[in-house]
Parts: sequence; C-alpha cells; structure tokens
Amino acid sequence: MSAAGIKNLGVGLGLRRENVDDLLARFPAELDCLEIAPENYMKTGGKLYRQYRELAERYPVAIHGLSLSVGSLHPLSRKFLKELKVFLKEARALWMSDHLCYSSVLGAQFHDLLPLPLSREAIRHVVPRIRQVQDYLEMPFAIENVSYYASAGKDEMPEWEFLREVAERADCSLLLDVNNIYVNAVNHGFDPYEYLRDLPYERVLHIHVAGHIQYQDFLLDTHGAPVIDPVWDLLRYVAKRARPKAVIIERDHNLPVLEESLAEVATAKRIFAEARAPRTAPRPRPSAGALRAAGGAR
Amino acid sequence: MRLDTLRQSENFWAKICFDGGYRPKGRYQVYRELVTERMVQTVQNISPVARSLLSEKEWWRLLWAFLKKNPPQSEILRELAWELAQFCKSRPHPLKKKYPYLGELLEYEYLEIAMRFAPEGSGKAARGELRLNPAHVLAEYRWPVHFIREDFRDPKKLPQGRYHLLLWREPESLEVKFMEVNPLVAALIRRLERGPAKPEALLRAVARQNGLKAGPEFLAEGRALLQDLRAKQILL
Repeated sequence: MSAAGIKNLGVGLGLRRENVDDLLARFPAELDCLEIAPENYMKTGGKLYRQYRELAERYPVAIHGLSLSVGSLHPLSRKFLKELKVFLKEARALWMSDHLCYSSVLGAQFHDLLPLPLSREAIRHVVPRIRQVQDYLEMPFAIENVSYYASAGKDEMPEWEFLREVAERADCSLLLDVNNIYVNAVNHGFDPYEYLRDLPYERVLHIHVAGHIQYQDFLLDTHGAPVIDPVWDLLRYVAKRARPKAVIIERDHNLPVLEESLAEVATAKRIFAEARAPRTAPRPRPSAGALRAAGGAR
Repeated sequence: MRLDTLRQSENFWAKICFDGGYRPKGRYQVYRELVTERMVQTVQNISPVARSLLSEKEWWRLLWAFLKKNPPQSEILRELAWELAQFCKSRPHPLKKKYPYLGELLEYEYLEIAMRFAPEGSGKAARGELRLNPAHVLAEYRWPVHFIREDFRDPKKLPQGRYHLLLWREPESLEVKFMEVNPLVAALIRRLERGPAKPEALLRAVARQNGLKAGPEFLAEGRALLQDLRAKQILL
C-alpha cells in the first residue's frame, strides 16, 4: 500500500508517562510530533488518556504497536485488530507500525520482542500476514527491524536481505531502527553499512533512534541511554537516502530531563537538514573498524 | 506450507520464557530475563501489597506456575495482573494453602488500577432516571482483602464471608475511591448495571428481589442512600 502523499510529522519523542506532565507544562516548540503505543491507550479513559488527547491536539501522533506478532503461527487476533482499527480511527492515524518478530507464540504473550529465524519459510509465512494487517487496517503498515541477541533458528540469509524481501513481497513500508542495526552489527559481527547499502529506501516511512548499553559480552537495546555517535552516523547515512514521515527518539528507561531528549530531537533535525542541504564536500563513510573502536563489544 | 522451522522456533522461545525448569544457555538467558522481569515489574507496580506478602522464592514459584499453566493472553500489559489474579482464583497453585486469599487480593489491587484507566462511557439517562457511573466495578470476595495493610497482613484472622467492594472513579477529580457496601446496596448497583432506572422503581425492585417490603420507612432510607451515592458520584 502506498505511503505517498502522507504528511511529514517531523522529529519527535516516544510519549512516556514520566514526561507527560513536563510536555503539558511547556508544549516545547522544538518537538514536531509524538509517538505512542496503541496498547497503552486503546479502550481507556481517565487522567492519562485525557493528557494524551490534550497533547494530541497540539502534536501529530505516530502510532507504533508492540503486539501484532506478525511472525507467530497463531492466527492474528481478529478482536485485537478490530479494537486497534477503532483506536487508529479515533487517533486519526496516518499509518500503523509494529515489529518484524514474535511478540507472542501459541497465543501466549511475551510482552517483549523475540526474533524470527531469517529463513525463506519465515518470509513465506509473514508476508501474507503483513498484507492481511495492511488490508484490514486500510492504511500503510510499516514493519520494524528488531534488535536480537541470539538466533531463533538456522539463519539462511543476512538480516537486511530478510527485511528487504519481506517488505517488497508484502508491499509494506519500513520502520527503520538505526540503533537496532548498530546493536545487531556489533552483536553478530557485520558491517552496518552493508546492511544499509541496498535497502528499499523509498519504503522507509518511519525511523527510530535510541540508546543501548553494554551487557555481559554484548549490547542490549534498552532505550535507556543517550544515543551514541556511531548511531547518529548511521542516521546521517539513512537521512541522505530516505524521506521518512516521522523520526522518533525512543527513551523508555532512565529518562533524562526533557532538555536532554529535546537536544537529541535537535540533533536528528540537524542531521536531516544537513542531508537535504546542497552538497559541498562528501563526508567519508565511517568504516566498520571505526564503529567497533567507538564502543562496540567486539 | 511447511512451517517446521518456525514451529521449532516458537516452541524454543516458549520453553525459554515460560518453562522455569529449563535452563537457557548463553545469550538466550537474556530473553528469559527480559520477559520475566517485565512481567514481575508490572505485577509489582499494580499489586504491591500482594507482592509484599510473598517471599522472593514464593513469588517466582507462583510466576513459573502461572507461565507454564496459563501464560498471558492479553495484548495489554497491565491486564497481565488480572490474568495472574484469575489464575490464582480459579486454578490450583503452589501457594493456595498458605495464601487462600491471594487471588482476591491480586484482583482487588488490579481493579483499583483498572479504574484509573476505565473508559468514560457515553450512556445517558432519561430525565428523572438514575445512571450508574460507568467507571465503577463491584467485586464480591470471601476474604476481607481490603483490610490488608502494613500492620495487618493476615485476613485469615478475620471471618470469611461475603464482602462487597465497590470501586469507582470520580468523573471530575478522576480519583479512584472504594468502599465496602452491604448486600442491599450491592443488589442496587447490580440492578443499575442493567440500565438507568427511576429512584422509586429501583428501590421497589431491590426490595422485591431481597424479600423485603417497600414500606415508607424503607423508601425514605432508600432515597437517603441514593442521595449519598449521588454525592459520592457513584450515581450520576
């Protein structure tokens, strides 16, 4: 389904309960948009819902789900899809996004994101499910690349090929998480720029940028730390190639004062402004070696 | 379509995250930690009193029994606490003997949070009719779980019975309130849950249902009760 003609929401933050009061007190002009998880607001009322509605009057809101589980063998929940569609209509959503992963198996919810095997079988399985979601919701649907720490089975192809093939066969949009690419590159020993080289950028509708931490012998995608320079570099690379309709800084834990998050919003805006500015001298592409020296685990 | 490898992969993830007897190796362990820690944190936030009664060991025994026999089905994270409460109320679990009231306590604490998020409701009553605040819930328990607090932790010391607990959210302040109500008030609330009603018809229906005579004294007391429920914004 084409995402052409969709309004550009700009650069914003994931809405968290902890920053709602601050946002309502200030309505910062630096912020273009917000992102919410529909699961937190569907079929709800009360204080938090009213606060969200108040913010939604001022900022456009991108909707990013957690529980569609497009990878599961269990049938998609008709009840959940129906409730989601009602919510998306109320929220005047322009598109929907969720993750290319399992968030449940056999109908049981993980409330987390677990990787799929990077296999032909998985592609054949998820493509019709993504089409089903997109057709039912009657709006563009973007799938997000997830971070992962261990394989879900025998992988038959690199992750970027898997992502590209799913997006093209399902004719869906992409939510590109550049931090997830960095985390996976370090954890699984590939060059993130190889990942980014041949992506179908015309499908990139939405971008996530976040921080991570070192955990044991690998990187853990916590959304609980500032964005590091190698991740900003990946965003720079993407900004020259994609025309996303929303760029979201995700921070779920160790929430800093709002100024720090707004500074990250400003950095992302600057990166996109520079990418769209007329070219002067070409900026050298960071090498994989430089990436590892900058903070990788391997 | 053959889906053997996906099926294997699903079974593997289910074993890692829902089977406490299995020991994941290497980085797979982090998935177990991420999934269970999020669940533990969620229930802890929603049901702090129930959590504080249980030792660490008891808590994990309960969680693994729940995940193995009745893993969470709802896409909404906070509903996990409801699902755990229903598991404790309706299924045999390892702590049932020591904490027979655990399911009711978990549910009661969940309902308080659920009231904060309850939809506003859009129903209207005709002129002269009473309407129930849609953000309410009436629970009936065998154990007086609402008495459990820091200095009183064992409801087994109080008589078992039928405790009717009414929770509601005030429409303007959005504060969640609760009170214990007697069986007659509980019957009145249940009657209003079927739809708005005129005060006198409501009181007569409740009297009839409870084998009472709707004499002048009953009706006068009933009207005073309705006024009180209206002042508390249980009735709108």
